[in-house]
Amino acid sequence: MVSKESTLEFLPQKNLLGFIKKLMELGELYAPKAEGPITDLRIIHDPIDVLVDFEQTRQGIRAIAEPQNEILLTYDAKEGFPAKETLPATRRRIVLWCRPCDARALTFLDDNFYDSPYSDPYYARRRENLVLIGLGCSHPFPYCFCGSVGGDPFSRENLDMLMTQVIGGYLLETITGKGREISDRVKELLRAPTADQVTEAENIQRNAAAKLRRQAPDVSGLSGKMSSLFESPIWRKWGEKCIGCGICTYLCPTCWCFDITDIETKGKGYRIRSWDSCQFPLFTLHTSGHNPRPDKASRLRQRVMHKFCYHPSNYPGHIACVGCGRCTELCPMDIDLLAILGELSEAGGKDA
Amino acid sequence: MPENPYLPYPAIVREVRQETVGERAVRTFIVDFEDEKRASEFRYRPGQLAMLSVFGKGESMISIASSPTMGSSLQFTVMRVGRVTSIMHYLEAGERIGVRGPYGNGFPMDDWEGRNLLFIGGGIGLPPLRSAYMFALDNPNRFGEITIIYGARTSADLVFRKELEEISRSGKAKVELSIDRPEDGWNGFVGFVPANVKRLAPKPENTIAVTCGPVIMIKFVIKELMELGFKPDAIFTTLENKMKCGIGKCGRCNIGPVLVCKKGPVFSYEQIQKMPKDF
Repeated sequence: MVSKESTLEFLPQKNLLGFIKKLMELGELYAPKAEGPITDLRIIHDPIDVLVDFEQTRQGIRAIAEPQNEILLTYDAKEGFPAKETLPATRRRIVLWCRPCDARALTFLDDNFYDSPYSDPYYARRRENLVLIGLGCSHPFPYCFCGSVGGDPFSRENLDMLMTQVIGGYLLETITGKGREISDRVKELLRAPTADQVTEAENIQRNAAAKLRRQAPDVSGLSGKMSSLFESPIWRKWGEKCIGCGICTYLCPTCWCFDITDIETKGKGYRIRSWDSCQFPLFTLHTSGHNPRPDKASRLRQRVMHKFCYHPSNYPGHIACVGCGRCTELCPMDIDLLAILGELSEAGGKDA
Repeated sequence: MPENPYLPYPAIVREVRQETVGERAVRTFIVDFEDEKRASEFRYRPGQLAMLSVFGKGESMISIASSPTMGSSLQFTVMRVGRVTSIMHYLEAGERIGVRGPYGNGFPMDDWEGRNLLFIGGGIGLPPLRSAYMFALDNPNRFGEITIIYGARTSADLVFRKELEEISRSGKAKVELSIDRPEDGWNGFVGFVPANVKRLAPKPENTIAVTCGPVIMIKFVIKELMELGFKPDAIFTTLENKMKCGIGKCGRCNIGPVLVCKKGPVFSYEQIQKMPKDF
């Protein structure tokens, strides 16, 4: 399971605070932090704020890679020009303990933002300065189904380092050069792992996927059945339950849609990009009044089809879902993605 | 590092032409990039789009209504209908506007060489077609007969009316205008554009049909063209969905897996038939 290029070290529990302090010196640190009842990846100013015992963070890494609001340009509110780009700073940003599924999600954001002929300079600048230290999921959570959409509770995809919690500390696997830069700087806090520790971690990693309680049907063939699925009556059925709140898209780690608007304050103008959602009617409304997706059924269809048909048809093999389960767990109307996928694969099977 | 694709470049409005009046007035803005280097580097094809910026109000994706054969100035024909376009209508000659682009595929003019061209427009759907028929009129040896069928709600809503009448008089193209409802003094056809297409019954032989207008009109025009014997690969339209970025990132202009801003806005009906009915 451990690749040959990667190296293994052991971080004793007693050195954890020192490790976090060191990471804060090496860059801007994001880690799980409690905010009321919610745990999310937040900037850490005090190492004691890092939540050691947490489950899933409310959001994935999307908010760090593509913030909810971002200034693209500034301009003079009176004259308009000159408009100046406001690219993000080039400082290193470290995410400690992102979940492997959330790291995988960046593959699909990369597909979109790096796609030719226009690479998105804002995203690219942040992405290149991001260091991801994952924490594998020894005990996956009730809504997780990463194992059936190409992931794994210990997936290394996009991670620079992966940590596995073992007795007395963490087994730290350094995967990339970016990760190496970090582990070289925290050497004094790390120990050579014992054979028992390595075996323990390997067992935990091997057994984690079997603990997943939910499973998606085989969705690999859905993109080939696009036109028949598009006409399926199930969209109306599930669309009727939907209240159009958009939480599924705001919490989805693989969603990226955005709006661009201008605001002005105190003589200064800002062109900002902010998250938008295909679940909102205004998302596609033409100025003429025509709306290609005029009802909840068509908007729900867009969300699901985009992830499981459209994206993989444009980027073969890339099913744009990492199985985190957030859209289902946090939907106020209990719209269950796996139930939809189940009905789709059954319906799709008929005319395949 | 390549330049920032979100950065609009300043252009000067050289001239504003009032095409129609009323609540949903239409004006044509003739603009030049302020920077000469950018002006010379901005190469576009008929049917492409550009993102226009009015700082403080935002951006709007507008088709380029001029043909590159008409000189270095760009023309944008804009209906006053939304937040950005309403403020745009206050622009006067000499003022600045932001422009980025060009975007999209444009019309495959090279593929159409030697063919008769039939343009069918409705309302504010004419400007993108204008870029193509002006290109064809400026290259008379490359194309066969040119026909323009165009209709609007009332005679006062017909854009480029004078220009179309001049084209008709010159004999370079056949022009058929229509209005939706009867009006005193109107001698042309009265009725919707698809009905006029049916009445005129253009011949499909060696002919490319290009249509743009309200979505509902496009759908009915295509239906008429198919009944007249046009093949799906000889029918083209330009589908200008709502766009925010213009560069394939913001995620809203898609028809199924196809991003209209990147793969379109020009599609043949043959291509459209393969897409989900999502427009």
